[in-house]
Amino acid sequence: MKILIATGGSAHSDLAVCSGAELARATNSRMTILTIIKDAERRAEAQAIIDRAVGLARLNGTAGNGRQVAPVETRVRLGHPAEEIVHEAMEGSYGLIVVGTWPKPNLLQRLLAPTTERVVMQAPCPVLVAKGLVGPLRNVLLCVSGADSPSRAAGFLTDMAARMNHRLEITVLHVMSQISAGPEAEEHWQLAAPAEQLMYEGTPEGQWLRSEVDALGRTGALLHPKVRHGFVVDEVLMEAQEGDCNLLVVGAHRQAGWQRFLLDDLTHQIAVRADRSVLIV
Amino acid sequence: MSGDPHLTDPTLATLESPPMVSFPAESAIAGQAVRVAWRKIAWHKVLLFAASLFLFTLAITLMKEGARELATLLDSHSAVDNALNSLGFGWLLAYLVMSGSPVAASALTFFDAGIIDQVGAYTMITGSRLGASFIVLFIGFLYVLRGRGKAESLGIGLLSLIVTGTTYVFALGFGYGLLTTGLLDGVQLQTGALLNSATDLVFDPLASVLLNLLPRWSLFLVGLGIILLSFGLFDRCMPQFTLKKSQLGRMSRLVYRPWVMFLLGGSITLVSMSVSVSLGILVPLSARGFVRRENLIPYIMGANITTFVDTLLAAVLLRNPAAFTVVLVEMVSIALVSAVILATFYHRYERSLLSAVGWLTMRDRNLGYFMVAIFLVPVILMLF
Repeated sequence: MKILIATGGSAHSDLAVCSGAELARATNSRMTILTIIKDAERRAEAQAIIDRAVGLARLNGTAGNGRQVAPVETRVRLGHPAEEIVHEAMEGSYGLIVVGTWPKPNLLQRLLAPTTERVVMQAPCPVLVAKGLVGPLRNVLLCVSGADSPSRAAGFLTDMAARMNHRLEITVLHVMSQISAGPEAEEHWQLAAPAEQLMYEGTPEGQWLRSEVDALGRTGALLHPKVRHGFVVDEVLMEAQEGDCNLLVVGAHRQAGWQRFLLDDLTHQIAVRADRSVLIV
Repeated sequence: MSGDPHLTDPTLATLESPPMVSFPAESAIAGQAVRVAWRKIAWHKVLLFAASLFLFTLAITLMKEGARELATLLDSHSAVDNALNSLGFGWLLAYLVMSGSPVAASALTFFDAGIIDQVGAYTMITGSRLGASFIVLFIGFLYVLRGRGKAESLGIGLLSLIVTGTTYVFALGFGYGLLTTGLLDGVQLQTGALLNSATDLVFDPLASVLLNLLPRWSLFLVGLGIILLSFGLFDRCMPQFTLKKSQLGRMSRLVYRPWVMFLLGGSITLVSMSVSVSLGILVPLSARGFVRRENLIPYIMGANITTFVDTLLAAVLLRNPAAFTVVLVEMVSIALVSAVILATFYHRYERSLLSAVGWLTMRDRNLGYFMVAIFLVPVILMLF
């Protein structure tokens, strides 16, 4: 797998570099560090950013025996950051983009659709939004909506897990934020049932969880299907915290046409509010 | 001579000419389409709707006549003479009648008759909405008594009541300001001479007939009864929603943007004219009668605005511009407060409301305190 790591030289970009390098090391992948400048006069500045990033990458991309596991390439592009990251990803056929983001974006930063958000919307491949602490990938939270079953995210995780040398622990989570629309509604027990019961009874949620678990089964990972009840975003973030997950995996908001305007972008809300890395597939 | 073998040899012409096929004329096809469409129209529902509208107009006419007599009767004995006790009165009356719209219509007829002033009419209508939102909760109670779980039966009713309570309380002050400054006085809907003539020609004679049989003040109560009947008929002419496989039917699974659900709640209630009916529609609209928490609150907020359409119609029928302004102020103030909540602190508001519902359904005692409060508050308001 080829990993593209975008950096602008800021602290949150450094986090992206470290996270990307760690992931490249764990999955034996090649990585490319990319920086974008607005005009050619800033080449020297770009080179300084690249040199710093390469240093960080080599530090994090080194195996326990001191051997540099992941080879590092570098690129400098001219233009708008989000567009150039996406173009590079397309041209280079990368399997993953790693970007940083403002840790706590203020209202203006949120309104102006920062680079990260634009990359996520237009990227031809999964995007890892690096946040929180950098460390070996052990505990993953896969969020399942039922939009596609099994999800693309499960497919990507399966490929990723296959490349790793250690066993992952994956919590497959579906959040039921439903309440009864009226006392006449039937099957209320589903609103409070645990994952095992939903899977046993073959309810829609149970079927989605079963499908994900079956898809991930061949990774050899330790799987925990789970259902929570409450607001989707709140429950996902609480599960990430309570389960001490170091990576959240969610599907991208990729509805087409008028559905894009009707449906809420929960992926974006999770990516903004999470205090740990989010992988958007 | 053309040299065409088909024309020179009649035998060949007979054997080889294409079979005669007659195509119906375009007008016949159009006529068939009209007949098919005609048969698909649910005429009984159209008749029900017409009857409902007829009865509604008759009810307003009677209530208007009766309220004028009540004004003289209640003048010296009236406990409804300021904004606070009007709020309490509308609230309690809606509990009694189990509906908000007749009480809102009553508020306008009282205002028209001079029993209450414009601010009193505004707060009485607000009270009617607070009382009306109890109805869904009451239906939930009946299911609890029949053995259903508390949270499942009461959740949506409690949520509806709390959303209504919070938005209307925020809107009260804003609406009061709009009313007293007269900012919306110039916005009026003209009934037109044709409608006025029609109502004078048809309904005034009917009111006269009843006047000969009953005391004038009782026409108000007769009108109230007829208006309840008209809403009952209207509910029966609502289409049956079975959109389980449509985009709308996926409401139980998908999370829609708050503004989308807000507009949906407003649109559906524009047709149903009742928040409780709009909430009831959610059951067949979703596959299993479940709705995502994220979708529900903005839906109720939208429904709380267009539920006033029938009250607006009542104001038009009363031919009282000031009454029209009262209803318009009600709608505008709720709409603005809802828009501000959705645009600014919506998620915090959403979580607070759902935590409140969770707390209320956690223990019987909590629910008990709440029920006492929603009966005690309007009674206390009446004492002012």
